[in-house]
Amino acid sequence: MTQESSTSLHPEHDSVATVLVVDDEVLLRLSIADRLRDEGFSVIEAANADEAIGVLQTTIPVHVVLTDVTMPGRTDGIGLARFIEAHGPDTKVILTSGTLVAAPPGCRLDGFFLKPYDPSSIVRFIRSLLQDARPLRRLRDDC
Amino acid sequence: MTAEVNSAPAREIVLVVEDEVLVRYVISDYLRECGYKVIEASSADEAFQVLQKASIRVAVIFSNVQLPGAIDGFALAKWVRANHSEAGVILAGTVSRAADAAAELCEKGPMLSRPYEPQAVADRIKRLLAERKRT
Repeated sequence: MTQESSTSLHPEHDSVATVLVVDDEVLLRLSIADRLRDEGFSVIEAANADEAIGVLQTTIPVHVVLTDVTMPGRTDGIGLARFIEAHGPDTKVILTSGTLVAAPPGCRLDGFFLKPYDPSSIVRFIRSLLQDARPLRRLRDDC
Repeated sequence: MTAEVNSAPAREIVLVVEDEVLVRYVISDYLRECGYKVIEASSADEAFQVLQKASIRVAVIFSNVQLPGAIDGFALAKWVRANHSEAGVILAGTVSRAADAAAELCEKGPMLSRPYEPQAVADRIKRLLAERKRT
């Protein structure tokens, strides 16, 4: 584990940042999730946007959502970003896709990575996003 | 949640197959705290993709019996028996009709009943791995 202190979102509260990784490709999801765990993040894996929304509707604080755009199911990554914009505006959203995507208005979007991405770049970017993050409001408090 | 009792000396790989994301998250995180390397699959299809990857040597598959899609936990267990006999299988579910099938497919007694305590799962995995090392 490296740079543990920089991973902590609010060191005074000894909290570890939680990243929700959303991808329907299991081996890709495994790869980036394991890398993020090795870097000290708490990681939740979701196989599609519906699962991710299920996680976001609990009291589990999610600081960053790293999601594929194209996924099977009722909602894709864009729909998930819309949900977060509407219900969890303090949660950062990073989209990933095999093709360039223009995010429509109403989406939470903090970053975009073209697949295949470099896991180290994702780690660095998440750390930079969290450096100036505000304390997270839990989604359920807003409902 | 802590896992003081179930520390595992080696990073053996446990494949957790569970379609309920929060159930999968809780048991997977617990098993990681026990020292296992855990791979999460949300369906039997995802489990097959992991098991067919030659570079990943799964020691134990812990699967829900009821899974979405055409393949349930029983079918997955049969496939593992036929194609990856080196891996142990533990099933969990609420399906009472399948006691015989579960006894045949699970290597250490009947399947775990849901809801289960994470520690019970860790204990079962630990016993299964110890048993396999002795034989």
